[in-house]
Amino acid sequence: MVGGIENGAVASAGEVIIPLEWAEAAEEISRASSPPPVVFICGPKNSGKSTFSRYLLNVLLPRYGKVGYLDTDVGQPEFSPPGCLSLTLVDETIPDLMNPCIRPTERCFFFGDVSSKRDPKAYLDCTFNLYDYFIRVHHQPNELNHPGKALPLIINTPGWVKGTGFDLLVEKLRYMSPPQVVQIRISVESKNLPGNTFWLDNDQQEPHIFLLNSARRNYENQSILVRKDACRMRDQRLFDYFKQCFPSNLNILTNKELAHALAAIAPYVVPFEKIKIVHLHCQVPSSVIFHSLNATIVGLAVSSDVPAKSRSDTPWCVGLGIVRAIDAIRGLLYVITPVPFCTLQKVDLLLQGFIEIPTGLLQVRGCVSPYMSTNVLHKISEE
Amino acid sequence: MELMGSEGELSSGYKLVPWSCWDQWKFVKESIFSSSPETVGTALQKISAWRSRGCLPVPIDVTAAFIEIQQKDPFFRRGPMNSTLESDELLSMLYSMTIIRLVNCFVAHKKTKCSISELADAAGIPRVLVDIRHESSHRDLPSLRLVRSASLKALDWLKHNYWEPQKDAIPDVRKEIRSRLLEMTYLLKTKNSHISSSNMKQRRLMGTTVLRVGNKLSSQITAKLQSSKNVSVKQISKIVRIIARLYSSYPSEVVSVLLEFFQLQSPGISESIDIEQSDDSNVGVSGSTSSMDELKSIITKLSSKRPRLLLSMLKNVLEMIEVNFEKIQKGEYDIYSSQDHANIHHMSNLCSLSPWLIINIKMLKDSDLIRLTDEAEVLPIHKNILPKVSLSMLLRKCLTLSVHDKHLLDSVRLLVEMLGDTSVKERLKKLPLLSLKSLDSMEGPTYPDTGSMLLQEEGVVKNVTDNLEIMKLKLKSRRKRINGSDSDTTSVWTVAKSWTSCPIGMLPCSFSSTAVLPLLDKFDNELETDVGTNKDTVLNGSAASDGLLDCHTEPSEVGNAFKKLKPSLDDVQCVDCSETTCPMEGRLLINGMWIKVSEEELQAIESNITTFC
Repeated sequence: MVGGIENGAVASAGEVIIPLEWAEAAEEISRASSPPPVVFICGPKNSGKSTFSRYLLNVLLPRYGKVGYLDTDVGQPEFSPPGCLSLTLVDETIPDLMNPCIRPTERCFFFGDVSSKRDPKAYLDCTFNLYDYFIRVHHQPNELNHPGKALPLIINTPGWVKGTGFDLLVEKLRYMSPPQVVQIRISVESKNLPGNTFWLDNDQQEPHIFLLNSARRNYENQSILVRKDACRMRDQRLFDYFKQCFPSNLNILTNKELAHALAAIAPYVVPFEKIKIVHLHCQVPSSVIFHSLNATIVGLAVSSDVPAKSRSDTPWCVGLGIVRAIDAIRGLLYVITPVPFCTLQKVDLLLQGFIEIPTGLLQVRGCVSPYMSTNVLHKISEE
Repeated sequence: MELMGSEGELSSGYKLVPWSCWDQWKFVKESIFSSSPETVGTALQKISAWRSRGCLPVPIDVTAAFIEIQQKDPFFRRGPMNSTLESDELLSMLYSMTIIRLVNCFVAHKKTKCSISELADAAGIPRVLVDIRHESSHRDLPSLRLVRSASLKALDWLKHNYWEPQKDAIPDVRKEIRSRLLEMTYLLKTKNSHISSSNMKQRRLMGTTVLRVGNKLSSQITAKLQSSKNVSVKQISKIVRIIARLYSSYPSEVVSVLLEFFQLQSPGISESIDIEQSDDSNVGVSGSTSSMDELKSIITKLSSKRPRLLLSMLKNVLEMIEVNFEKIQKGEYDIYSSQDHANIHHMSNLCSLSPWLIINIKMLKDSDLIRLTDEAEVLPIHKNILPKVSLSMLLRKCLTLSVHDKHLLDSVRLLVEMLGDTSVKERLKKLPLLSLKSLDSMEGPTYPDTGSMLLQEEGVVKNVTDNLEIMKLKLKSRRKRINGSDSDTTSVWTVAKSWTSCPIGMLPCSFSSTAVLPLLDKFDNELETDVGTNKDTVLNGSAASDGLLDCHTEPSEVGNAFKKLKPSLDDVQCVDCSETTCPMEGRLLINGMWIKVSEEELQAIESNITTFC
């Protein structure tokens, strides 16, 4: 899957086809010298934003050694599990251009849902906080307390480009005013973003816009959109994330093995009274908090660790955990998480959201969770 | 009914649900339509907890919305009016919105060219709801009187199309298990009679006795089986496989049905105790002992496939023994009533099962099918996780019960031997209760008998005074220790000690290592420390949780002397993670249980002793 990317021209590795147009754009971006490029990538669903950003990242790496990656797609994040907004500093090339992989993030927020539509304001606040953090610490490191080399930034965005999704994109572009904007377009014009600098209303400094066509086209030059099963991909990301609970030499190959191992691993224990629990998107009466919390995925945070000059009081998230059991009588929570032990000691806040626990983790053979049930009537399916 | 039955499919596969057992769902179903606002309130709270998990079925969501609005509507809400909404406008907006959601959620209008009303008609949704949806979406807000009455129709529709059909669709696992067990006992019986061939007739007579317990199915099975008299090993291994599979999905149900099936669980309906004697060479086989043998052979067969079964059996048996002893102690049983005599007889059966189970666990351990928790651990990532057993925890449990019965004492001895730790052995020998009890253990279970009672009492008093002194010393030294080193680095997060593999959402039981569904109602953590002062809250707390919530709570009719100490009882049963070095520390043996006692309680006991002497 890897080879052929180094020459920077048309690289074809396995199924990945990088069109000449893409390669040239990436080249041109990488030549922008001072300050290092801040590239905003947008375009409709399945058009290849992530693939292009991975490719661009590999192109920028040799020159800068380290590249910032701001991920604003909470549904399909690149380096973090779903429901997170994150900033990652990448210092090694990405071998697989087609698939995302989990990496330790530099800074992260737990948004707690797979779409920004549930709370656009909180979503934008988190995005801007991450952006500000990068600019302050890694892009303008002239301040005394942040010495170091200025790094380039790639901003990837969700494929929701209509309605509120469009408004959010405009807000982001206006706030960040990135010098480089890459827009990927597909053959169905109505689904594309406007081709101009649609977010500017007066004569601000014009950015460099790259209009690129999606990589995959059929013989009639229509875009072939690689449809993804979003649910399955999200589950897989969570599997990959929680695989980090185990040393890599354990050689866990399948999700089934992972589910078994997670059921068996000794969890962390924390007294309930030492922990504050907040649901990000709905009210939970405190009398039923354990019913709400048992066997769910939560964001782990330190309540005092709020970003400097933050626009909200949402603290950074140090990672995700599974509340695997609750002992209400003793007031103990049992949590599985890959977050290192020393970081965990400071955690005093569990953020609940709507990141559903993959059923593959609950449905272990001979070890089925009580939250998996048969004979459930669901609402009428569409014919 | 028609709607959900035909179009909404009854899935055979697993689905993620927000409730941890169907009993919770049933509780909500019963409460949400209650006339008492408080009851409705608890149901609504439970539903908000479910909603926060993100997988709440739409009909529940919409039902809760209607009920909550009605609670705000002065028309429905009797009693205190302070929480109601006075504005008709607002109320009808709330009702209309919920009606829109109901209609839209249940009418699949995409991709079909039919109108909403046609589709709603097909789904059996009352026409008035469809009209209100249209009216409030595109025209004026409907009048409160209209939407109010429509909300009643909507709730009715939901009851008939979701709540009732779902209630009927809840799988009756126990029934299925029971019929499979019936089949298996029958197969085993016919096989045995084939081998010993002498008393075919008698045997079959007994077979039907057991079968009588079952339902119509049993007669069909009998007929079917009698037609083919040769029971092959294949047939047996097939049924074993089926039950083993059932066990994988419903472990607790299989265990409790097994015990119930052999009338160990709920004695009273037993006819098989004093029925026909078989003139087999065995020692005076009464019906119950032979059914005991059947039970044992079933357990042996099943546990070779699912070793964990032994542990779950042992857990249930020990817990049942505990409950029964409490009853005896409370004086609930009258030894002169034949009914209770039978109960006591069953108790001894139950007790005799425990050393047998432990011997089997030992056998499986020796053949490496079960591991001990303290053995060197490799993370079990492969499919066959070996169940692990913590001998010391099991020992602790058996010890607390061993005052009552020689079989349990045997269990303790077996466990000590398995542990192979000589220091534990020595220490146990010193325990006065072991030596004392082994004397009168010949009598089987303890029921009132004046002679031994007095002897026992004397022994207990002596015991208590001895323990008291030790306890006092320990309390002192402990206080010193706590005052000395509490302030500095105590980490909030710790790794759980003694963990055994169990499904996500469940806790491993401390002494048997089987998975237990935890109670999820919020407990006040203070309860445990000042047991003496607020008994009432303790009682209410545990009663509420027993009644309302969990399918897993044991039938706990605990003796009076016992009740106030209930929380610490749970304490014994739950996994102890911040385990102290000495598990018995700060505890006193009361009524056969090691119970945590405070300084004040100790003093109270002490003053009682002085008056006694």
